Amino acid sequence: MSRKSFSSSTRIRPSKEVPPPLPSPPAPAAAQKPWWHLSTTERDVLIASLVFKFLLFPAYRSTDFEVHRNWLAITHSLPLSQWYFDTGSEWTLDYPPFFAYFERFMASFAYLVDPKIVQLDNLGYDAWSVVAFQRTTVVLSELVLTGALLKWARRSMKPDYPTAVIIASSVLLHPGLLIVDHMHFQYNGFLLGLLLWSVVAAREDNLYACAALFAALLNFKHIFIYLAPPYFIFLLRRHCFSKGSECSSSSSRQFQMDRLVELGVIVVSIFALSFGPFLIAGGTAGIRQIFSRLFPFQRGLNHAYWAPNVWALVSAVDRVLVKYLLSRGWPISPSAVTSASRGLIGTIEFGVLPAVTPTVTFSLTLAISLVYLTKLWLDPSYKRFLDSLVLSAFTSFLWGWHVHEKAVLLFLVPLSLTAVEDHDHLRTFIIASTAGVYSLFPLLIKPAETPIKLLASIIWAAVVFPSLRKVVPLPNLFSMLVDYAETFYLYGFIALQLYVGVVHEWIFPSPEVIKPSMEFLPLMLTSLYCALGVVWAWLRLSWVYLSK
Amino acid sequence: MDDFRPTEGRGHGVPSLHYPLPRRPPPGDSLSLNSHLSATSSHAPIGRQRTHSDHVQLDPPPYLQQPTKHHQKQHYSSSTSLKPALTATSSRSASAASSRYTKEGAPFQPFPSTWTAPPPSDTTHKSHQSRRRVHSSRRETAGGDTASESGISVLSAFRPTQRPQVDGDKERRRASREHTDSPLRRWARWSGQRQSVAGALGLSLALVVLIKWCISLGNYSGANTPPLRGDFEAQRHWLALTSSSLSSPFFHSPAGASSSLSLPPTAWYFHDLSYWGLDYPPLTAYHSLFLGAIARLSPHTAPFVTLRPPVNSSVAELENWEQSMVELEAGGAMKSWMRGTVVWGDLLVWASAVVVYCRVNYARGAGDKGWRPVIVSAMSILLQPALLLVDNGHFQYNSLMLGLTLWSVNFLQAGHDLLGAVAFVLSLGFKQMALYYSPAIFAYLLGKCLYLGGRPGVSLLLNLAFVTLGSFALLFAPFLTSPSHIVQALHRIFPFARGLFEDKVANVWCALNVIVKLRELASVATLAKVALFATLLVVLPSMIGLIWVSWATGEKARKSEGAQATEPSVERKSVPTIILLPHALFLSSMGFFLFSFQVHEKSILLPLMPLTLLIGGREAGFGRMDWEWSVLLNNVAVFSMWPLLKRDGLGVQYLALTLGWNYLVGYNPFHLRHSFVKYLSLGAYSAIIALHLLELVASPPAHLPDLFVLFNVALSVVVFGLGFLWASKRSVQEGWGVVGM
Repeated sequence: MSRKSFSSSTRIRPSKEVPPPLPSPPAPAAAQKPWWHLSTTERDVLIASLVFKFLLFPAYRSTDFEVHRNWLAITHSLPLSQWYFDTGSEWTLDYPPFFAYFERFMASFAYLVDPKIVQLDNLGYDAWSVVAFQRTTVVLSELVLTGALLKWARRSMKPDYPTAVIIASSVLLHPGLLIVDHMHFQYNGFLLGLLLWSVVAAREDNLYACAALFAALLNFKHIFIYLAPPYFIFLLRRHCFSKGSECSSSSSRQFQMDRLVELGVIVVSIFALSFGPFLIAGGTAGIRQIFSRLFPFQRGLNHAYWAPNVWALVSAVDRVLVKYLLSRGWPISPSAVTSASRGLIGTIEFGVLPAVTPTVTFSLTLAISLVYLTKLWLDPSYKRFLDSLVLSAFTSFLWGWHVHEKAVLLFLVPLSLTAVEDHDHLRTFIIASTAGVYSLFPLLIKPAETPIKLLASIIWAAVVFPSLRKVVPLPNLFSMLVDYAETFYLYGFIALQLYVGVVHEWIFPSPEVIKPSMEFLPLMLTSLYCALGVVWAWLRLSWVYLSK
Repeated sequence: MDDFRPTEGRGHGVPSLHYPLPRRPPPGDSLSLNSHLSATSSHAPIGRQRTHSDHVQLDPPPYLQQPTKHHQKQHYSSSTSLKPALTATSSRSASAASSRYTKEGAPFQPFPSTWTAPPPSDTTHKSHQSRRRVHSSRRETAGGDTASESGISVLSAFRPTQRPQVDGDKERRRASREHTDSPLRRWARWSGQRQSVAGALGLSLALVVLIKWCISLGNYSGANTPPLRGDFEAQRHWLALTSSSLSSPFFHSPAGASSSLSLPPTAWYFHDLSYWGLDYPPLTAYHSLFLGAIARLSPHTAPFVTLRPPVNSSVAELENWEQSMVELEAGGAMKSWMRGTVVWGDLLVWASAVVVYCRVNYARGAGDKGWRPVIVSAMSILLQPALLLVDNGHFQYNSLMLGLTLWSVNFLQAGHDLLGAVAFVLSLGFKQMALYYSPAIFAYLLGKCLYLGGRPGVSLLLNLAFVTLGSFALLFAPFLTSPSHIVQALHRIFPFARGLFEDKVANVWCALNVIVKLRELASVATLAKVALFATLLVVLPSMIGLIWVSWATGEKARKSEGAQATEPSVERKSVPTIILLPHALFLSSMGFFLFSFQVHEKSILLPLMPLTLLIGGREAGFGRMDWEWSVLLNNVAVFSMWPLLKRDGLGVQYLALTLGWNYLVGYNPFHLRHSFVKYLSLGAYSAIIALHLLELVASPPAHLPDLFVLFNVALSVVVFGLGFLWASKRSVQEGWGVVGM
């Protein structure tokens, strides 16, 4: 269109690479409007996402659905002191207190909708009323994410408003969120919304709000503790060390105790709000019980299905070595041969490689994180803070103990916000999103959802990636060569999907014929191939973070 | 002869003049721009003037447009110099080609390209509508030069130009665009700016498929309700029935006791009639055979087509089968597979037909931007909630039948009448319901024969008769072996014994039944005759009108063309009455729906199809009223199926899809212009909302269990009836436009 314009000399027109802005007001105007006054684009995306999510109501739901229903029943039927002691169902309450209060809040509505939902002994209740109710709560609680994204996009300067709208829409309609929240069933949209509110507060230097929101988030779901170190460093460095006249030089910063105390009071009071009622109701025993529920250490290194992280790669190497050495007649303990990759939650015993203990994984995670934190300490800017958040999430995902594949959302969502920072960020975003979303596919085990997850992901990628690529300047020659290799990797997912979806079934036609060792081959392949992508994305982002 | 819409610019067999489309000079190079313009102006006198006007998006047709002052001289001279060289038809195609030129390669763009939504403001509607009218009436007077190229434009050059100020005009247009902008238009614009045409179209279709799959997640008709289940089981049963006779090493046999059963085609219409006996025409049976064969290619899907043991088998066998069915239903793989067959068939037959129809009718010029209205209208039509809910939710293959009918319309538009007839026979052979359309198709084809008149007309008539009968014979070939087979097939396809209506359906008989108990009043046979008579009475006027218009137009054309023996070139083209076809299809199918015998609530899909096609007219800039009525009837039609959808457990899909679709096409009943349809819509919607709320909070009294359904029927039938009357009025208008005074 701009090609056909002859008057480009007289009017400022975007060049071919930069698409013309969306027909929406630019950021300053958007920021002046009342927040509920949506532009047409914002309204379109919001309504499309709502309609789409409503249509997903009858989709497959995992046991997490029953977990949350049980929590509704526990919080509604039992006194507060008993919440963390109840073992009526195997799905005991193991989220921090704020989430329990959140369940209690929803349970009062659930009682109005259908009193059977909140009956304690009504295990496995799956009438349409409870399905519709719980799905609706996910959709509605996700409005927190919508609000955060709206705020982020409207006041965004670095990615300009049109690009920010694309990114915000991509998060709202993220296939990962669709799969985990709206099919598999969880409340990640709501929780990530809180995270983004706190990130937006950090961008606006509203650090008390930032700290308070993050503390609240920790009390909703403790997995976010992986992001605590960058928060701590950022808040300490940015807020508690006052700026001198020259902002850039770190020597001119002075430590200010009063600011630390202020922040501490905010965080502690939020924790008090969360744990206080339990302390009053159950004493220290109640608190200890909560913590024993929150941090169960009896679980294995890998989850049932290997999350695409470093340990998946290590386990695979170990499997290959075991096979190889067994064929050479080496003595290997039989328990190690049958362990791992059996699809059961339990400890994995390596046959050849040295065993990995929780201590090892934690020290590795910490050691790697320290590198990023040092850099953040030296330059506590918002940009670096966001990057270090992403990298912390990456690191904990890749090196952590008993990581669940759903944790990819923890870095995919903040990573989206930085996607158009530069070419490296964009490539990281593309690789990590593709690998991360694909690694979520095995969560949906029924055939009915297969076309939906595939189509939604492909459409999402086909809309988001090219739109973002157009606003990022082209890289140098070397990184273009790297890009080719990455693109080759991305096309590999087509082959992988073909194998997992068609060829594997064709080679091993029926469960009787299947070799026991081949049963989990598609899952292993998925996990390994995705792990390659996630590790590469992490390396690439780390390189950019540390070298710039 | 040109096609009936000049903007289309790709007439079939038109002796087209190929103007060299201007290449883009480098931006800012004013010298080359001027020389370029003067070079092209001698070629394309009409288009040239518009390149300077600000009416890039909504220019009135060339013959209505007043040239701006500083170009009149050039225009005058060039048109006179061109005049003798052109015949009537070629001068028309010249205007078509030149309008294409301005649309596609317009060098001047007075406002940013982001504002590319067609702004169907007042002027647009009027100009486009009048263009159709004027154009079609000009057909007869097209003996020499047309007024547009010389007369009007020369005269108007001496009139003072009454164009409003550019700024005010822009403002007004922007305001009107904001008013009629829709999310679909924004999507088409947005994706069109970033993707190629193929990419944008592919993405749009992928979105449509995604939504269809989301609806497929819902329950199907008769899910988990043994022993009879519902339409889903009927279709599955037919797959099993027809594919039971297949035997080849490639095919896996479905497990179960009945796998030994092998039924040849002649037995299809006789087998186990009490359990979903086949009662659709043969093409459905062949389609089932095809799907059954595919299912049996893999050991995983072969169990899906297990035939129910015949009635005389043992209880244990039946229980075994019942057990396996319960497991299959619980597993979900069978549901997904069957849903997949619907989506694929839909994509291959219906979606392709819709895209072709929209491309032919609603494209604006040949460039990439010309595809935007195509994408918008195709998506509006493909996401039509009624069809999605019945096909992908309730489970049926209606889109195949509708798609075949639409392919027939596409062929008729392209002038391939014989192919059109074959496609329509296939549609009829897929589902006898397509009979609702047959009066309109028949009237158009007969009208075309009359239009051609003389030898070509008779030969076309004979060809059509031969092809139609031949394809029917081929379709029914396996059953022609003995009279009893064909009689049984026809008896199954047309079940007159089943009564005037089965369920509560929004047609006249069911509504009348509330007041007068018709079924007690007369026997089934009498009622059938009454219904037939009433249907004929309702359908005949529009048929006769269509035939008469064709004949009259043909007469005029023959008179005026007189000496010019251009008859043979006409044969390959559609005739002007083709523009009456959507309304005629609607009228005949709605007439059948309202008055005929044994109507299902799902049959409302048939009248909806041609009406929904008219939705795209708004994108091309005409037919605002068509659009408003079409959306209203679509909404009421979905509402009329609410009892069915509620029974299937598709409430959430019903709500989300209907509201979402209305939002997508940019429909807001409060923003319509003041007209009868606005207040009718507002009234109907308030009644619908009130009824839904009432149903939510209250249950009907014990002695009137169907009270809400009857309210539903009453409301729907009134709106459908008014829609019928309105379409009759529109047909008369259009027909008048075609015939002229």
